[in-house]
Amino acid sequence: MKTFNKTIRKMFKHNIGRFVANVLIVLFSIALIGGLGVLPYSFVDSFLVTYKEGNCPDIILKNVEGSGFFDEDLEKVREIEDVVQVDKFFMADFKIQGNIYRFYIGDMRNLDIGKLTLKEGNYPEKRELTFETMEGVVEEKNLNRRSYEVGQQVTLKDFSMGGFVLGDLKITITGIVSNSMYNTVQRENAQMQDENGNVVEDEYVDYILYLDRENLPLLYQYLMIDTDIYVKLNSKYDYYSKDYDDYVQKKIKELESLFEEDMVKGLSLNENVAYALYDNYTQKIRNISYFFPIFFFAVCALVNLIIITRLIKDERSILATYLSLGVPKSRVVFKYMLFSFLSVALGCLLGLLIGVPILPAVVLPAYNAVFKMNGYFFSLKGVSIGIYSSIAILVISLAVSLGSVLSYLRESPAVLMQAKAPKAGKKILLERIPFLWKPIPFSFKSSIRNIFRQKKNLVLTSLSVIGSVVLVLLGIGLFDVSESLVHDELFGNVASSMGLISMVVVLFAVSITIVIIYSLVNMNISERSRELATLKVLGYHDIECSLYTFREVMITSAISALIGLPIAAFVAAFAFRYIGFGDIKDVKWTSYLLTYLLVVLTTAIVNVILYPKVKAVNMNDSLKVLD
Amino acid sequence: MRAKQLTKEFVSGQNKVIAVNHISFEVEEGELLIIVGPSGAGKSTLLNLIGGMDKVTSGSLMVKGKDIALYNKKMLTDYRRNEVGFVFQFYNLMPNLTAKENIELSTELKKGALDPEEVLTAVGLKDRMNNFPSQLSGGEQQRVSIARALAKNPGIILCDEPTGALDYVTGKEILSLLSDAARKEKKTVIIVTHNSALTEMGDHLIKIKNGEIVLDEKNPNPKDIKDIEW
Repeated sequence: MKTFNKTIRKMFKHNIGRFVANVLIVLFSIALIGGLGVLPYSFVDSFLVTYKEGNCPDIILKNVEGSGFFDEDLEKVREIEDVVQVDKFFMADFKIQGNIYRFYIGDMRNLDIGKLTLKEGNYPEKRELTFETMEGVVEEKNLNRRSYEVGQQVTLKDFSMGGFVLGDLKITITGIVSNSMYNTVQRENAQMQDENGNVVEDEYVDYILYLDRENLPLLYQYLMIDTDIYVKLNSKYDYYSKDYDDYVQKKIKELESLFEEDMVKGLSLNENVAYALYDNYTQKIRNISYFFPIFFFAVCALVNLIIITRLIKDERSILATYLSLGVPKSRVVFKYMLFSFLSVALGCLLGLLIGVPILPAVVLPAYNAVFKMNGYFFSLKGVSIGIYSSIAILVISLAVSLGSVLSYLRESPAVLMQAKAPKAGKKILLERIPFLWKPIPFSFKSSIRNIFRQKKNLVLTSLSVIGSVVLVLLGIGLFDVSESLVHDELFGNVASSMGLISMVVVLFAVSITIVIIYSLVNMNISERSRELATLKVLGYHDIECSLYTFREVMITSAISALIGLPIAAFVAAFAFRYIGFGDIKDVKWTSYLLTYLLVVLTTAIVNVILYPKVKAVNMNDSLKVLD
Repeated sequence: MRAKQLTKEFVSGQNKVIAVNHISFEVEEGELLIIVGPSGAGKSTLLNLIGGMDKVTSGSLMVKGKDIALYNKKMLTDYRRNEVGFVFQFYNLMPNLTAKENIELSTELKKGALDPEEVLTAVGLKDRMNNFPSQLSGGEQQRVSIARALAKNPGIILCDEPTGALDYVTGKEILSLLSDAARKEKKTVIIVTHNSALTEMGDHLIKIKNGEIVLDEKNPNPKDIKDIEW
């Protein structure tokens, strides 16, 4: 068995290219699957850090009736089980000279819940102020919200409240803060009523100002009652879990029942734009991470099949020798399974090691355009998707390899000893329709006949091209959908990072197409080196010889890509619905064209890469031996 | 055709093998030349040089007044395309093309080629024209291969062990087709073989050993292939 083991080592040495190709395909797939698996969790963890740092309230109680909250109300809330912290303050939106200002008035420096982070400047110093000399801090700006600079004096003319005209306010900005409740670039809906008491729709907050109650002139302290109570619960549930939602809803009911009917309305985090958006968004990524692996399983199985089949084909005579020497079949099977196992296992391992930390690291900063995150936190939750997928790919690949080896072992050693005879040519169906067949140029006739002669190659090439079209259209489609959603305010920049994912998908699809088509064409050239040599002897130039094989691949890929387009549209429509992101109608017609051209061009490029291989076919070597 | 100091060396690493060693000879147009020698003597290498399938290392090889030893790869391809017809031991037909199409594959490259159907009829394959190689016997396949060489209407027909894979009777039929090509069509036919019985059928005989010519003689009275036994 020592010598047998030597042949195993030799196999690895001679087929290092195939080994690496298999490793790379699996690596790509698992890196993407594994990375996508942990992405939503890393994303949520990173996001929630700001929630936790700011000690965001689990519940906000809004006084709807207008009398405001008092200290005894706070005490009542505190009595409720699990309530650990409470705070109250004034919050209201005002429209002044065309802009909407949101005012928070409370003990801004000493908030237990919904803490502010000072980004620039300082909080106002505590002293008695007049209308003319008020001080405050302002929320930092983002894409949809404006802000002031430290030291700037803001004049708000004809400020009125509850029917009282209070005249002009002059507020000096002493600092810029960040509130974790405004953790997104999304517009914040204004909460205002018009003169008739109707809720104003489609108005957004332009500025958010925070003032200290103790600094205000006495009149204000009297007018600006506390409208909000922030409640922090001793929750043992994770954010975004159903248990948490149920628990919070239960507590809201309890809290609301403390007050007179219709006087108080309880809001959960689900009513917070950032929190809700995050949930919606991570859910989409999670859906992608469940959906895409199916493709990669298919791709890996296909590549593995091609590589192992080719490997065994090359080792045909070695296989024959084993069998004639009486090497047990199980050992022969072991040899090829080992190749498959090691390459796939290595690919899975590297894929997990590379994809799981790197994909979130690349994508998370892109999310920062949408959500403010104080650093990125890498979560291993969700890594199970990558691990289960690795196991699945390993099992599928081993099954495919086993099938391939066993089909060879069925032959007798004597048959295996001879090189496999080339497939005989025969007329194809098209030839029975003379008016279609006759006008086809001679060289194309030969190519078309060849396409049908090598059925296995035809099926594999077609499947790869169709698969590639599906993936590329998904990728480009995702981009289109993102583009169309840029105009939609709810998503806005969310879409831009989807664009990044779409790039990754397209790149992946193209590289996989290159590897698969390369293997197939390479296999085709080796199998038909005798035919190529004959052409060379007859006086065909290298270019003409390469056209002989490449024409087949190009015809196959051009037709398969065409067949692939409606399939891709169907899959994309399903995928978009499944992910809950976009619509197939948003995919531009030019994207179909682009997908088609990209896939066919990729095939063409592979052919160009393989040209030297055709050139290298040696006339003498191939002609003098009998196949 | 005239070869002068024709040499072919193969270099692999530190080793140098001289397969054809400073060979000089002359072949007249329409001559049937038999090149014999044991295997490994260099006769196939010589055939490859004459056929433009390999580059000459040194010396000259004049064909129709041009020195093909100086040709680059592309020129050699054009030379094979226009001047030479090949007949191989294993026929080397394209399996996906019918007999007729196999000939078309060769004739469509050259202006002034003969009609494929006529040539196939001439080699006795009128009824087999639309058959694929796998549907033909070895002898029939070799006839297609000869028809392919003839149809191009080349000056030279090169045959490497043309009967090597055929039985005695079929082999004789093939050889008589080849000698007809020389005698009737006035082609220069060069047959490389290790079967020395065939020497009597040629107008000209060259014996090769260790890459060198050991005998070069004309045969004023070539025997009819029917009268040769082996």
